[in-house]
Amino acid sequence: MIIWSIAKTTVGDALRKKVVQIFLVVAIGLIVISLSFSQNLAFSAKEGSSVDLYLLKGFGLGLMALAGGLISLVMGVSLIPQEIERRTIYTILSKPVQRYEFIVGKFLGAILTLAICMALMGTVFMGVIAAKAYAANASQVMPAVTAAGGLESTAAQVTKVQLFDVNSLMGVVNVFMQFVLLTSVVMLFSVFFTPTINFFLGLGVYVIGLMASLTETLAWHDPDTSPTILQAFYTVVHAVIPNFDKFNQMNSLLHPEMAVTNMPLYTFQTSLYGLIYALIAMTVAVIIFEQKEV
Amino acid sequence: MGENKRKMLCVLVAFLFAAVMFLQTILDPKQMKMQKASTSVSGGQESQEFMVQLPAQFLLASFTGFKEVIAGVLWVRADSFFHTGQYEAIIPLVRLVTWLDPHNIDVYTTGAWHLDYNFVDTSEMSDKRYIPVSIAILKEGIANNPRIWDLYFELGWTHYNKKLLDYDKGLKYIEQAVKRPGFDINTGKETPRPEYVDRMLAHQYEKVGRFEDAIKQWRIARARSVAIAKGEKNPEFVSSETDICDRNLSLLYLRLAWRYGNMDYYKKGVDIMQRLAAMKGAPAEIVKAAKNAGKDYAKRLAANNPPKDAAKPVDAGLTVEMLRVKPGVFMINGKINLMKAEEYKGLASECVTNWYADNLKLPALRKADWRDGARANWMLCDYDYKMDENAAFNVHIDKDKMIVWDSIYVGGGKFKSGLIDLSKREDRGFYPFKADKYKLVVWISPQQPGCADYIQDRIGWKGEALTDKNYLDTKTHPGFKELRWEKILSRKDIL
Repeated sequence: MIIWSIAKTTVGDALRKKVVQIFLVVAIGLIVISLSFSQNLAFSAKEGSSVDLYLLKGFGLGLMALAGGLISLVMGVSLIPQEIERRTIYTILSKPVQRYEFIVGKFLGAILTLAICMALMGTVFMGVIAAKAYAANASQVMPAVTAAGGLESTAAQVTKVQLFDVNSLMGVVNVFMQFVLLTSVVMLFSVFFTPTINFFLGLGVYVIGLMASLTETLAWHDPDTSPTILQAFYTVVHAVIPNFDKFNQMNSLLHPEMAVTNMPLYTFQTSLYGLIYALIAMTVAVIIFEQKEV
Repeated sequence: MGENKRKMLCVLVAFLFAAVMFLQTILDPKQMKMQKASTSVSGGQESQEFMVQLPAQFLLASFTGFKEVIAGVLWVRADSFFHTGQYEAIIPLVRLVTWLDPHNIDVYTTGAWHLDYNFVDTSEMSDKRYIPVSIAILKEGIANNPRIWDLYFELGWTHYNKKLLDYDKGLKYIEQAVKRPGFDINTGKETPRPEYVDRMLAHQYEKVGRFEDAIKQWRIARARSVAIAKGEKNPEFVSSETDICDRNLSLLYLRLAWRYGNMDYYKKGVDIMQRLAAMKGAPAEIVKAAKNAGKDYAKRLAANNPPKDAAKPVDAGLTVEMLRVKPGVFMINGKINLMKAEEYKGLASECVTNWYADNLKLPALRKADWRDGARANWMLCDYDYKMDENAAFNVHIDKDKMIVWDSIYVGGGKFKSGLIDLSKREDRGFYPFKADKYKLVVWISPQQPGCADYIQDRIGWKGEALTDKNYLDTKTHPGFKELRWEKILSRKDIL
């Protein structure tokens, strides 16, 4: 109950932040504007609608990732230091509130805020895709080559674009889970760093995490050409730094016909990975915060 | 927090970390697989170094999730280059887009088409030096997307068939296309490939003279259309798909009978044609063809007189001359007996085409002595020019090399190219004339579009009836009789 109260207050505080509102509004605005992407490519063998949808999905998911990243960084770095700075933490902890309840409540509030933002952006994004797909289906007729080499209209063979795109939804889920993880990492740092240091540190961890496939490649590099110590270093980096790029498999989502793995299962596993990692970060945060002099 | 609680939490952290590590061992290979699948295989080789898999300037885009957006925007940019005639600028864009998004099939197909057809000189002759690049793009696309039929079909049909007129290689790729399914772009689930892909394989077998395989393939294509039809809601569309197979199979049987005298095939062809004619709403020409072919078959069967339209030799009497008009400008003129009107007299195919009889009925002034429409192909290239079909995708071509080809209409037993002007200042990039020796070739192949069905009706699919005392060529394409005239020229002969 106490955790829930702290979470609710955190959601209210976070959503009142002008910077969060601006990121959210700009992202939603851009997603809506992307509806106007209309390229009837005379150059292209396909109808323009396929390029439109492709651009729109890529743009929307990328934009949500960018906005989500900024929101979780800006929000995460200030949640705990702000309470310490304003000295409101004394009031809170003087009441029958355990320190772990404070941390967990804050984290829950942060991910709820993220969930609200993602739900808003995701709903607009899915709506925009549905609108574009509807327009594409209404206009699309794909030509086919006849036996004589000419063109015939084979309306019955046209693949209709689905209004509700499951892959895009999986993309939204992946973006959300990615930032649940980032928020937890930033909140862990916020127990002992100032917001400015935390912002850049969080950003650094995020960028390294986005390069996880690079660290993995370096960790498993040919032992004949790479020193063992370097391999050991990159193995540790790859294991300890959260692998944010595991959530970023846009190409497989945009080309489900080329997907080489079961994407729903993969999304489930990455979500689990994100949740467990977040749990680790929060447990460590609780352990440290319990010892911390405030 | 008590010491015990803290220890318990530390143990929990260790346990969770082990769980994360375990999950990571499951996710890492999957991620690598996906990463590999979304990394372009360039020039048939995949780099093991992550950093060189993408140009550095795209790494940021890649990390921030905008890689495909950039690919899409670049592709849109390619369209604007196309409209403003900046064709060369499109090639590096195709390179970049396929690097960024190796699964965008449209980029491979459109890029290859662009290279095949859009680089034209002032006489609208395309620059054939881009053909190896076009092949390289499509092969790279196939390497990046081996599961789908699309690019195999594109390479086989659009490229080898339509552009290079190399039906053997076309067949190789279309055979691969029919082994692969389509995929739903929404769900990634397997879907049936379009029916025309299977039909195209049958046409291809005909082209290379594998008639038994063609018959078999028409039956397979028809059976497939019937199977797909079961799930269709539009019976008219379904019927048209099977009708296409029936019409083509019928025509194949009839032509095999007319040209080579196989009465068993004649019966099969007539049976199918009559079945089509008996259908409700059958076109008048089908009804008429079925009736006349039926009559001809019965008459020949009774008289034990199988048709052999392609048995009597046709002397092509090919002559070719190259006339240099001025430096870089020349004409190719010649004569060829394709096809005198009287060659159609008494042909079995006349029972359906009726061309000879109709021609006789015309007033003297309109009566044709020749059945026109064949085409003679010509090619001028560096003497040692060799098209490298295994080259990697390179945005630069060797502009010191030269190759050009086109075809000339044959009318009244003659062909005249008109002025072939390779001297224009604007076209210097196309025709550098840097070599010392050149090869001018004129050829007519029964396989190629220059020999339409009505020419083949007389000379056969493989040119069996063709003879020529000087230029009969049976070596270039074993099993086929073609006509081939070659001349070695020095630069001085042209310039």
